[in-house]
Amino acid sequence: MEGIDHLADERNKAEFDVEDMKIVWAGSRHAFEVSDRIARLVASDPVFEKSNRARLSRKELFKSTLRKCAHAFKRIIELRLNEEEAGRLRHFIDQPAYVDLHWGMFVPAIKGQGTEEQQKKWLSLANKMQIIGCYAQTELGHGSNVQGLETTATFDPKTDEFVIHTPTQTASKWWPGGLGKVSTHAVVYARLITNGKDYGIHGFIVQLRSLEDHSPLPNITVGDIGTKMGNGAYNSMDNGFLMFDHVRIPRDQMLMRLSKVTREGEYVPSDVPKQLVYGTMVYVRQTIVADASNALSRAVCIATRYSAVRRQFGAHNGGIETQVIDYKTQQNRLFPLLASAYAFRFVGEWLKWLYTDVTERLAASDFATLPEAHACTAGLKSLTTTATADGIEECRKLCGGHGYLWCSGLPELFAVYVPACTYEGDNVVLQLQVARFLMKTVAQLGSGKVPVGTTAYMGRAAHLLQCRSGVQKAEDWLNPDVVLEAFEARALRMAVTCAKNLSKFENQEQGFQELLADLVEAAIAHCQLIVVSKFIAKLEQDIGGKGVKKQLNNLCYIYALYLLHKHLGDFLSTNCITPKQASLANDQLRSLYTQVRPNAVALVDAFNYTDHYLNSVLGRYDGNVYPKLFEEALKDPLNDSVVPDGYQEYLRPVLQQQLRTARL
Amino acid sequence: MTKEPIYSPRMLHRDPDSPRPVLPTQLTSSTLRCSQFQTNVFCLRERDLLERFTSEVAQLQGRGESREFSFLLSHQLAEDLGKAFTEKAMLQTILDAEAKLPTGSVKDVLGLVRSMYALISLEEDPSLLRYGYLSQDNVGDVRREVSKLCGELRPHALALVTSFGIPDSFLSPIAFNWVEANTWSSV
Repeated sequence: MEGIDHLADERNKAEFDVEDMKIVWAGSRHAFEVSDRIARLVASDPVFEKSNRARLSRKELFKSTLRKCAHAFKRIIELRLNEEEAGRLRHFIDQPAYVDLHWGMFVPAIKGQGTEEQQKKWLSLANKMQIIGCYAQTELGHGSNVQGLETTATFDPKTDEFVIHTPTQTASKWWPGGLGKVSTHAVVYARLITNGKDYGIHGFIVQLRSLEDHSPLPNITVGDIGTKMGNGAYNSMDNGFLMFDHVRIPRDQMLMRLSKVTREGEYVPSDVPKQLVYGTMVYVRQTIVADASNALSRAVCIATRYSAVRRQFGAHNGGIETQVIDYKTQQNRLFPLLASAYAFRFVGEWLKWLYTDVTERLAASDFATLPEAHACTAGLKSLTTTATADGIEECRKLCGGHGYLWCSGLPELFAVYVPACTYEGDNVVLQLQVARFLMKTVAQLGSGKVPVGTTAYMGRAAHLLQCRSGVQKAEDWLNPDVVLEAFEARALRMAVTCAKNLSKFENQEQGFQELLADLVEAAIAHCQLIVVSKFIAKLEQDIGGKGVKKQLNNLCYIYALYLLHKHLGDFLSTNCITPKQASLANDQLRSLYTQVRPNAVALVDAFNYTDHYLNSVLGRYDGNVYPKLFEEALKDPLNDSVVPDGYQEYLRPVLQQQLRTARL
Repeated sequence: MTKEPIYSPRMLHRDPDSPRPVLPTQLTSSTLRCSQFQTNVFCLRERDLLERFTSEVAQLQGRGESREFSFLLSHQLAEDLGKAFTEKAMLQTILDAEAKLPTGSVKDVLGLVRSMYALISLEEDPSLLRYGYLSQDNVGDVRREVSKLCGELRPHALALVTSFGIPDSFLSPIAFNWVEANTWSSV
């Protein structure tokens, strides 16, 4: 039985070459080969084992995380892995740790905000791990509103130092990953105060712990903020708190690429354009969108395989029961998530192009497209992380009762992923930024200014505001122009309706506050249009492989028609389509589910995830689920003894009616 | 096999012989908050969905599909109907509870909460537009009324959750002064 592929029958149904789809998913053959090689390297290394992660105490979990990080560093050196390979190594270790913030936030902050001299000094130390740094921005009282941070950095001209201070409880730094126990240094964001004036938020490099014995430096209070959601998940990360009691640092430890403070205490904005920080913003959000497709694809992979394994009801005359993946309800919940994983993958690819485009424009001092790039990336981060968080939890439910077991892989996947809806910008706040941008763009309609980029469709407002869909039969919904027109008309009409309602208020800002809920929905409609249009654009590229593009086409229109069904109220209330046309869309959606069904398992095999990475009994590649569930159960520490600890003190007295004399 | 009705309408309707409710074309604020209007729209939705569901299943069976498979194929209508039934039952239960209260401020606030429940259920349901129970203007009216209700419930929010009577020890510090609860006392 061991090693037999119980899902081979499912795999044989595939109408495309899964090896070719693996290349599409990875993005390129090179990316696939690097990823595949490093994934197997991690999976075969016993130090990176993680199937017992939920059976360790907090201290044990943290220590094992430190061990894995040290081992990873050692392997990177021994194998001479390059930057790309090292990044993939950390990805497949799949355990939140201080290294994620050191490389993901501390180093980029210094690169983007430090002078060349500062970069030369600090990046040299950081790259060789001679110091470990974190990104200390969020405070107890302020997360989303960075401008409200309370920590202060006051210049002292007598000693040529900055004095870092935490004036109130709410000013304590709270949440930074890697801060609690590990980081020796941090980029601390604080209000810059010099010559009695407040110049806003700036970054300062502060040493937190001794490099000799790791003890906190004088007047620094630092620790872990406590246990977090889920078993394992972010509890392997030392999210921390930090308070300063007039801590002094040299003046040249203020990051001074964008502005500097002279020896005399004068604040001098540099001639480096501030817009350069947008490059980093686009890059970070692109990685978050890519992470969303990664996380959603893992959940979908598990749920799809288990849905093909699990049978329930549907037996005829004592025969075998039906695979739950054959039920239309299961398909209606699962296949749109499979389509979303691919959709977010492709919009993530487009964001990579956007990043190179924004970077090129910044180099040419062209800032014209920055407002659109900012709103676009903010909205896509919000849309994809919200959909992914909901999707992971839905996948758990799709697995029935067994999905509640930690060894299904889904509870921890949800817990470790869900912070994405909050960090790097609260999702609702981000959509409001999109809404403001849309209102500005709508205000320019009729002024002769031609909108570009993702709002270019607004240039066709005259048509889109009054057009009627020409759909007459279900297959018409597979026409890209038909789908795009429907989504464009819906998004535009929602935005225009908001703008009209806004103009009825005497106070613009008050009107904005009053209509927040509608504005968020208009922003979401715009973001969904972006994803749909990028999926359609992807299909226009050359995609090799037998039957591959056909399946991607199916997924594209499942994504679009599912959203149309889910947000039908928007499409009907804005008169974009008629109820009859909506019914035809439903018929087409149902037909697409039937076409995807035989390809479902192969479409998730294309993700190329090792069983180690998935860490799921239900989602095993070989479909050998029930014997492995039993195996995992026996490993639980509660099964270490037949009679449970506590029996003599707390159970036996109850059973023996001896409570009165028992020592409880 | 005999094609007996899948469900008797009597099982689902309080007044099986009453005529199909007729909704006013203009939905004013007072109309939207009226319990009779809310009951009518919930009943109308449920009855219409039941008729559509039974009709679709009958059609599929007429084409030779098994009863089980016909149900499967009609799962979207079945889900919409199940939800419509549940929401109508909940609304009726709330109204019954409200009717038992003496006139006064508690009854008034409960009325606001009941209207919020009824209107938010309607706002989120696309079948109202799909099947023509409400017009586009009607849906806009509902949406604006929900926004107004949010504003009117706002001053009662704290008192309403206090009414749950949950002992402090059952609630996390985040329900009180989270900043104080996380302050390191040794500082």
